[in-house]
Amino acid sequence: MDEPQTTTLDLEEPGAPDAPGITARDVRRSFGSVRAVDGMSFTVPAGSVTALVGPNGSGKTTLLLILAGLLQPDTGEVTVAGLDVLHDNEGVRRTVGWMPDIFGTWDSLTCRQILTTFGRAHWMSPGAARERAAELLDQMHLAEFADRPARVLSRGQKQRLGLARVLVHDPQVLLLDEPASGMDPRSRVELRDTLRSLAEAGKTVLVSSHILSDLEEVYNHAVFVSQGRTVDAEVQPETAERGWRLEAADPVALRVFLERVDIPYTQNSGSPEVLVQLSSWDSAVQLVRAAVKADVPLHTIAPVAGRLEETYLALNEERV
Amino acid sequence: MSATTTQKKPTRSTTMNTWRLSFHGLRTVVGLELSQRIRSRRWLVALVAWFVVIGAMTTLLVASNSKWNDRYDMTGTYLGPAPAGPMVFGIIVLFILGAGLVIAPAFTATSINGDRNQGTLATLQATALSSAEIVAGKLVAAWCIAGAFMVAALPFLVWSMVIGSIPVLRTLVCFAVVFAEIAVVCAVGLGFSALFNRSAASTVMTYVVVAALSLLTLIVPAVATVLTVRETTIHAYGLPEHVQDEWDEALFAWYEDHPDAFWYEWEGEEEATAKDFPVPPVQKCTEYEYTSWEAHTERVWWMVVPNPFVVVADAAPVSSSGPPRYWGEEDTNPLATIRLAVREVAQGPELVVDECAWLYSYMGYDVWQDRTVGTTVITAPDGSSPDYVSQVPPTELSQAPVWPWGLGVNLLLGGLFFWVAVRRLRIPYRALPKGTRVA
Repeated sequence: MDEPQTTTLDLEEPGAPDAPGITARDVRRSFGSVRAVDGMSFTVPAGSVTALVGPNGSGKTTLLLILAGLLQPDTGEVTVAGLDVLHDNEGVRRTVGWMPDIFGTWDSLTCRQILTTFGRAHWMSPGAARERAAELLDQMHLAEFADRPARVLSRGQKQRLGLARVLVHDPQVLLLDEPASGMDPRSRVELRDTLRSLAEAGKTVLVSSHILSDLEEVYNHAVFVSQGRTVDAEVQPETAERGWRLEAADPVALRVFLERVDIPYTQNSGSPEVLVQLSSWDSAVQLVRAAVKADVPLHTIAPVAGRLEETYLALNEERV
Repeated sequence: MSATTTQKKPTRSTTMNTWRLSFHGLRTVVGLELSQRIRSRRWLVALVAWFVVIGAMTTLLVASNSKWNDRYDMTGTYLGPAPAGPMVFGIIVLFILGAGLVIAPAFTATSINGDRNQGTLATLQATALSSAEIVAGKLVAAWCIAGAFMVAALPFLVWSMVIGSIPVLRTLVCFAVVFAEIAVVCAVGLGFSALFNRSAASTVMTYVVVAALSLLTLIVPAVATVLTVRETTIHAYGLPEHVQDEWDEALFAWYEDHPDAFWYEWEGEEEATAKDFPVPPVQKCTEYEYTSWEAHTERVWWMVVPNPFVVVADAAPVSSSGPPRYWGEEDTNPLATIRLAVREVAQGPELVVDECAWLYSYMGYDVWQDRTVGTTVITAPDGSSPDYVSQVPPTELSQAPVWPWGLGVNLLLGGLFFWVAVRRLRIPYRALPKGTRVA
């Protein structure tokens, strides 16, 4: 099998590298004259969290529909957990947990009923479905809503229920479309933990999100898409110039220090932090050393944007 | 960006199980649909209200029966009030059929596009359930809900069945046919809800089909009948023209002499026994032909066959004395009347007529036509028959059941829409209907 054009970023290599994840080769799909997916090729390894990153309308949702076995690609080959989405569609559906960006609810069904129904729809026994539903409701902190209709849930709670729903049948592959939208910060942290533990359990996790900071801490790989295509994107290297955020216990001392070493900075009014442009990570190291030597009470130095975000923005610049 | 590699067209697999219909999958979808649609008490209130309406109607019909439901024999002699059973049974059956045709689309005509718009359809399709299981589950659930209304009317149907001594088996057949017709309408609604993205469009189209089945199947053949009028040769057995003219003159003269004996007061017996009344010369009856303009309804009658009301009426129990033998024998039993009317229309014009037999009514006899065997029957008030042998072979009215054909056509229609619905839900989607999102 020849290696498809891949744009995955290998940051670390967790376990189970041999288990089949997702492979897509030159996938295309158009709706009338709109080419929603216009040549996507990538691999998503099992046992890791892969970020699917791209602007609105770049074909992320369409791609996930194809991977979930709901939409037929016009051309190209797609395998999910080693199963061809066309030739073993049902096998794919049994293996995949797909969470759409809009989670519809059945107005009058309770959370428990929804989860057990989906367990049953995956051929679980009534007892097993009930047990699994209770387990997931606990895990997603929805136990108190278990027997209330899903329509009373807030948006974030619905997202949690949606996540519980895709986990009901313990799928090998998770396709999550904007899972964090509407979630409160604590739920997002828990979502990250959930994704991480799923990956550690050897599952293939593909997450699309606009909230790149959420993915920043959890992703192992990234697939960048733009205008229906996967694009080659290198995570901004250590040598690239990027913005850094500095904060010190004594803001005045920090500004005086920066002026003395002749580093231009910007400051948002009313904010104690200052922003500087540094050409590389080495520059950052030098800055910290110098600041400590100069006895500046520096307590924070961090890149302004995460690596995903920087790459994403770099992509957008490219497009212009 | 990405290098174009192999541009091979993917082929659809044979292992998608679009048409698999397992009990487990069906039960799962039915359970989901029922718990989703049967909401709170509102539904129960509607059911109770329906029960009360049917009950009140049945009670009123039974109570008022003796006041208006008179029965006459074939010659118009009053026989006392007709039994309420068949009349009540017929009205209740037609009523629940009509109500079922109206309410069934409400449960299915927005079922699939409604779920699609709510975003719940795709999540269900993404499970191991097959398209056929999803559609069939929705169909069965809607059928159960509509069926609950039918079952709520059952006590009153049984009541009228008992007072009308209607056979249980035929009642069951009739009820089953009503259920089947409801299922057909449910399937049509599902098909349209899969075809149209807007729930208004699918609802309207479903009611259009219901209206077409119920009304157009009557209106179209009625209008088309006009086109079937042809100059038709009638073989008659009766008085030749000149004999008829002579007798008419004698008759005219007699009425001149008896100005009190208007035709509408004519009781038959007195005048006919009057010594000087001109007896029709029946011994001069002979065969002859004439042409007249006749509507050949036998060419268009088949259009009424798919009408659900015709189907149910035809499947309904005939009374214990057999099918009606003459017009009016059971004119308060709507089912028997529909049944007879369909058969009359199917037979078309009578091409061989016995006009001679009817002349016996001028001689104090009762003359009537037995529609089941097609013969003209002449009886004296004392029960005796004249020494008359009809030269006309009887035209027997077909008693072959019509409803299996109508039901078959309707089930085919329902099957077609079921097929359409499953096809439209088949995943992975190749083409999407305009303006549709998958999720």
